[in-house]
Amino acid sequence: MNQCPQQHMLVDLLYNELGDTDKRLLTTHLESCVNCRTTFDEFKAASQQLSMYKRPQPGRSQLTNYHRELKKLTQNPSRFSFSITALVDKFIVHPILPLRIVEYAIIFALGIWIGRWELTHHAAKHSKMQLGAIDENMLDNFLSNAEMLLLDVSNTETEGDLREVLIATNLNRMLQKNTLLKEQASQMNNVMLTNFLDDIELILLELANCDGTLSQSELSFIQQIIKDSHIMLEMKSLNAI
Amino acid sequence: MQENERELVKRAQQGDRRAFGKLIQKYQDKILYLAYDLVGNYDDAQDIAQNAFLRAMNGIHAFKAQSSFSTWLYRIVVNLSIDYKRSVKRKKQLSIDEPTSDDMEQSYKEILNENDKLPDEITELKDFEYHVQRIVETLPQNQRVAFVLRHYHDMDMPEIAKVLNCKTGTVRSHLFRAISKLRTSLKEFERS
Ligand SMILES: [Zn+2]
Repeated sequence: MNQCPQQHMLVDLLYNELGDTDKRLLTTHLESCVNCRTTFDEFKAASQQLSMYKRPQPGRSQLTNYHRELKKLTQNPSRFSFSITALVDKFIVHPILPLRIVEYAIIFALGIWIGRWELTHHAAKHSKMQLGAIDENMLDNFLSNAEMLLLDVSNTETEGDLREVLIATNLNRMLQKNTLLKEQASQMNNVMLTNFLDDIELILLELANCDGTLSQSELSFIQQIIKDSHIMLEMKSLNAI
Repeated sequence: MQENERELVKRAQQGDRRAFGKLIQKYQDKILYLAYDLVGNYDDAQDIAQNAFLRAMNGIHAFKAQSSFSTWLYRIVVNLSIDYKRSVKRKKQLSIDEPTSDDMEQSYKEILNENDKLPDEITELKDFEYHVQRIVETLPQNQRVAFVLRHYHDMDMPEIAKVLNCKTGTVRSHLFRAISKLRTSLKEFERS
């Protein structure tokens, strides 16, 4: 066989895939190299002959059937693979611009909504503290003081004993606390506590009024009120809560 | 046009079936003819073409835009056609009792010639077309693919290299050998 180094380029020349310089060089070479020229002429003749080949056409019905089958391919959803990566790509990695804008809008709106919810929620909690909540420390304190006072009052036998109890008790301070707690309880709509504090207030007021001029009958009267109001029982159940 | 195709591919990759449908419409006939040129009959060519589009559709997410969509699609068709040829060859081998390798090659060609064409299809073919098909069919696999892509599908050598996944120099060599053999066969045909 011919070993001419230019020969492999005959194919490029045949298919017109050579650059101008290479084309010129090879054309010049063909003028001087008989072997290459003969081969190239034969290639060219063969190529021209082959270009006359006409591929037979498929039958019309076959072509129609083929096109129909291909249409089914994209019409049948189950045959089209919707992989998770495709969905991630479609919605997160490379969404179309309108989709991206909508996504940003949703995230923005969500941010605003959460912000506002947190704000109103927090404000509500805050206002509750200011307006509605009962100061439980104060209530506990008040209840234990009131219990002690009412126990003492119930157990005293003489007006002298009672006077000692009253001297040791700051009745005015207790009445102030009672008023404050009653306000809080009514703001919280806590009917039970409000009524209870009402009862205590009545007793506290009686004790405050009789301060100084206390008779045995008055003591018995107050003790009766305490007994009738079942206030000690209520106090026990309140303390249990 | 090229930009449009890239857009269609992108949409198809995002799961847009209509976009893939448009790609099918664009290439359906070219793909059918390529399969025919490689396997020599339209029934099998149709199977191969449909299968190629199905594979392309299911694998479109893996398609990287390094090559053009058509090159990628052509490669699928070429590979399916090669697989088909191998399976046909294996079937023929199984049906022939202990043939020698030369006998086998000869019988294979004969059986292929007889079976791949329906009787009326053969008579419809002109002598020249029939002969060209036969001699192209006798070319070794890669030479045949390179020749078919260059002559019948107007692909240049770098494109063919991408389809065959080889260097352009290898394609040049395939084409050189192919055209040399075809030249000889055509001379014989003219003499007869
Ligand atoms: Zn030369």
